[in-house]
Amino acid sequence: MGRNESVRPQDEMLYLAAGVADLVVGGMRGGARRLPRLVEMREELRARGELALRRTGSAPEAHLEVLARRVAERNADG
Amino acid sequence: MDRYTDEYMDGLRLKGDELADATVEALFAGGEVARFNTLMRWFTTSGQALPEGLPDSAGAYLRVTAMPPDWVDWTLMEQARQFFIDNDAHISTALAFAAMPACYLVPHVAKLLSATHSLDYPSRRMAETGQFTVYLMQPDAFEAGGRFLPAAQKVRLLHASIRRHLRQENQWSEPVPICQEDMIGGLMMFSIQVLDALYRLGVHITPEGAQAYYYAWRVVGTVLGCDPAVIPADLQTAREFSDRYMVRHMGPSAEGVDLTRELIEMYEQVVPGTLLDPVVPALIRFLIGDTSADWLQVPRSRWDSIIKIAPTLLGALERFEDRGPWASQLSDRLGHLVTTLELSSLTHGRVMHYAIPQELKTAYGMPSAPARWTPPPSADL
Repeated sequence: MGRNESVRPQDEMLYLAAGVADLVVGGMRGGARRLPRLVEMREELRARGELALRRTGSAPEAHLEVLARRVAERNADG
Repeated sequence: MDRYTDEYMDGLRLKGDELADATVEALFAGGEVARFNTLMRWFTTSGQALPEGLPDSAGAYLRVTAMPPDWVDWTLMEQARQFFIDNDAHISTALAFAAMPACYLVPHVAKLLSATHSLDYPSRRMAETGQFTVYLMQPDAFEAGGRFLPAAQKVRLLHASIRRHLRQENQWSEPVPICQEDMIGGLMMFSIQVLDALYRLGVHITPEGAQAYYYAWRVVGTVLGCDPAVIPADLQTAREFSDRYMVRHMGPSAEGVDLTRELIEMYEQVVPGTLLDPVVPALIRFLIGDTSADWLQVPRSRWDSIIKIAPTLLGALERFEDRGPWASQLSDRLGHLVTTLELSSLTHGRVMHYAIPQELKTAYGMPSAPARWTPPPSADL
C-alpha cells in the first residue's frame, strides 16, 4: 500500500479515470473476472491508469511550447 | 536553417498576391465592385458559365484561376482525402483548438482579424480557411460542379480587397497586409501544426498519411494565392518555415486575448450545461502549451490535469476500433458527430452543408499502420 499512499488526490482521480477508460475499451471481460471486490477494483484501476498514462502520457510537450519558451527567453535577454 | 533567414522572410512581407491584387485594383478603378459582387453571388461551382456582364478584368482572373495547378498529383490527393476521413474528428479538434489559437498568437494577424471583422464575428475569416479542408475533401472538389475552386477564387479577391482597403486608409503599419509570409505562415498552422497537435493527442498517423495531408495543403495554399515556389516542399522544410515564422512573430496581444475568449465562448455554447465548459480551455492549453496559453489568457482549471488523459482515451479508442467493423463504425459515427459539431460552430453552421461524404469510408480502406509519424525536430533558430 506504500506506493498508493503517496499518490496525490488529484493524480489519483486522473489515474482512476485513465484506468476506467483503459478497462472499458481495453479489456472489460478479463478485468471483471479479476476484480471481485471494490477495494481491489480501485487499486487495479489506479494501476491500470498509471500504466496507461505512462504508455501514452509520455508525449513530448506541445511544439508551440518549445517555440514560445525560446521567444520568452529572447525577450528576457533584451 | 539557412533557408529561412530574417532577410528572406522580410522579403516575403513585401509581397501580396499580384494577380488578385491587380484584379481588385481594376475592379475598383472601373467602379465595378458592386456589380461584380452581385453577379458573383450566382457563381458557386466549377464549370459553371461565368455570369454575363462580368467586368473584363474579373473574367480574365476567373478564367486563369479556374483550374487546379497542373502539377497536382491526384494519387496523393486521394491519400490525403483518405487520411482526412480516417481522422476527421481529430483533425477538426486540432484545427479548432490548436490552429485557431496559433493564428491568435501572431499579434499582427490577430489585429488584422479584429480590424476587418469587428462588427461581424472576427474568427470567421480563419474559420472559413479551416472549412476549406472540408470543401477539399469532397470527391468532386476539383471537378465540374465542385465548390472548392470558386470559393478559393473569391477568397483570393477578398484578401486582395482587404489589402487595398487597409493600404488606402493608412490603417496598417506594414506595407502589405496579408503578405506572403503571413499566408504561408497560416498555411503552416493548418498543416504541420495540425499534425503536431495530432501527435500530441497521441493519434497514430503514418508518415505517408502525414505527407499526403501536407501535400493537400500545399495545393490549397497555391489555389489561395501563396507563391508555390515559396511554399515549403515537404514536412522537414515546413517545420523550418513554421518554426521560423512563429519565433519571429508569436507573442501576447490584446486582440489575441479577445479572439481566444470568443473562440472558447463559442464552444461553451455548443456543449449543453456548464459542467464541461472548462474542457475547451483545458484542451487548448494542452495543445498549445502553458506559455502560449498564458499569453492568450486561456483560463486555468482542474481540467488542465484531467485533459492529459486525452491521448490515453484516444489510444483506447483506437484499440476499440480494432475490435471489429461494428466498433469501427460506431467510432466513425462519433468522429463524424464531433467534426460536425466543431467545424459547424466555428463557421456558425455553414459547414453543415458540406458534410463529409460517407461513401468514401467504404471506398478507400486505410491500410493498418505499422509505422508512426513523428514531427520533424525543431532546428536551431
